[in-house]
Amino acid sequence: MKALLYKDFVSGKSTYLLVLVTMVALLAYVTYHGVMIIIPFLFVFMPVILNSISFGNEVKSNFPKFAFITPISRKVYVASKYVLTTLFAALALISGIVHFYHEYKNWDLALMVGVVSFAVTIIFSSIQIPFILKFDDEKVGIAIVATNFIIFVLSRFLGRLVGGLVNLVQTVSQFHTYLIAGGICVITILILTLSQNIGVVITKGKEY
Amino acid sequence: MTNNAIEIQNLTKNYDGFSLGPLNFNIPMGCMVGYIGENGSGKSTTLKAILGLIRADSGEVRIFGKNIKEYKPTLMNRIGVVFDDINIPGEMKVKEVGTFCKFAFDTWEETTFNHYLKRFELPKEKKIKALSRGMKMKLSLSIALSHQAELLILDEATSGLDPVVRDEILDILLDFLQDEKHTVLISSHILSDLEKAADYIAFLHNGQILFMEEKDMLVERYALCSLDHETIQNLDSDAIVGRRKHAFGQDLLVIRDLMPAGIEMVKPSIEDIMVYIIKGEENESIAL
Repeated sequence: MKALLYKDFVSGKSTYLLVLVTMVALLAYVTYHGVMIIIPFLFVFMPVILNSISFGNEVKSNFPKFAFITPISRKVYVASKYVLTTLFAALALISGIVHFYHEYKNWDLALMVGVVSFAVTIIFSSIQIPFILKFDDEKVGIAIVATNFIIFVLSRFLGRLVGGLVNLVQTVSQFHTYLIAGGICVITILILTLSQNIGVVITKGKEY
Repeated sequence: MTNNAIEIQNLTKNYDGFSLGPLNFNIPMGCMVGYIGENGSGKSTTLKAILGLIRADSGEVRIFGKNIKEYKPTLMNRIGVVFDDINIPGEMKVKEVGTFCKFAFDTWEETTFNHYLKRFELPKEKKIKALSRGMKMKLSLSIALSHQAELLILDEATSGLDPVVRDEILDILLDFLQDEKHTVLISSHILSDLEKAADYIAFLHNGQILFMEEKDMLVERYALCSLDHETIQNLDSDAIVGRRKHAFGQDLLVIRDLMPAGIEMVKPSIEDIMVYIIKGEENESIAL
C-alpha cells in the first residue's frame, strides 16, 4: 500500500501541486466572498479529479503490469485507489461540520451536512473507480469522462433536491440525529466495501 | 522438495485464432533455459501465465513447488522479472523507483540496487521518460537483481539493444547463475545470445513445445549438410528435418545419427535448427 501511495504521489506530484494551488485559490475566494458553504463540496469533487489523474498516469505506462510482478496483491492495489477518497471524505465531513456549526450554531444540522458530504464523496468515487478499473487502455479515457459525467449529472440532481433535503433533515433529525448520521455512515461504508470488492473482482479478471 | 524452479502441467490458454498448449515442461533449478519460437508462437503468453498476469484456461503452474495462484504476491519476492518495457510511470525518477521497490519488496536490498545503478551508470536523478531503451532495460534488470530473487524471467529483454549492452546483460545473468539455486528463463529472438549462455533450449511453435533439450545435445543431434538431389533420394526420409532447395541441390538439416557415413556435415546453430524446423518441407529458396 505504502509503495502504491508513494508511486501515486511522485508520479503525479506536479499535477497534484497544480490542483492544490487551484484549491487554495478557490478556498481564498469563497472565504473572501463569504460563500463557505462551497468548501465541503470542493472536497467532494477533488477525489474524482485526482483519481482520473492517477489512473491516467497508470494507463500511459501500463503500470499494473509492473505492480503485479512485485509482491503487491490485486486487493491492495484496488484498496490503494480508495485512500485519497477516504481522506477527502474525512475533510468534507470536518469542513461541513465546522462551517455549518459556525454559520447556523445548530449542531444537528452541522452533523448531518458533514455526514452527507462524507457520504457523497465516497459514493461518487465508489461509482467511478470500478468503471475505470473495468475498461482497458483504449476505453479508459471514455470511462473516466462517462463516469465523471454521470457523477456531475447526479450531483446536479442532488443539488435540486438539497433545499428539500435540508428541511427534511432538520425535521427528522430533531429527535434522531445520531441514529440517522450513523445509518448514513454505515450505508456509505457498505457501498465503499461493495465498490472495493467489485474492483478486486474486476482486477483479478483482467490480464496484463 | 522439488529440484525444479518451474513446473508446468497441461497449461492451456485460448484466444481467437490462437491456442497455447497444452504445455508440459519443467525448468530445472540452477540453469538457464532459452525459450525460443517465432513471433506469435506463444512465448510471452507462457511467461505471463507463469507469472499470473493472465489467467490460464486450464492447467497448473508451480514455482519452487508452490502453486502460483495461491502464493503469488509473496512468491514474487523470489522472482525477478524483466519485460521488454519497464512499465513504470515516466515522471518517476530512478531513485524514486528504488524507494517504491523498498516499500513493495520484503527482501529489497538498497545497497545491491545502488551497486547496479553505479555499474550500469544509471543517473539517480533522471526521470524514466528520459532514459534510453538500453537504460530502461538495465534499470529493470537492476530491480530484478536487488530483491534476492532466485528465479529470473526475462521476456525479450535484450531485443533492440546493442551487442555491447547485450553482452553485459548476459555476463550478469551468468554471474547470477553462479549460485546453483538460481535459475533463469529467458525468451529471446536473438538466438546467438542464447547460444552463448543457455543450458537448455525450449522451442515453442504454434503454441506447442516442439522440444526442450540441453543446448549441447541439440547441436550434437542435428547437423547441416548440402547435397545434390540424387544423393538425397537415397537418404532415410526420417533423417531430414528441414530443407532449403537451390539450383544445385539442397541444404538439409538432418538428424546426425540417421545419416549414412561419409557425408560431410557441420554443426548447426540454434538459429539454423529453429529456421529449418519452422520452415520444414516448405522452405525453398532458389538460387538464380
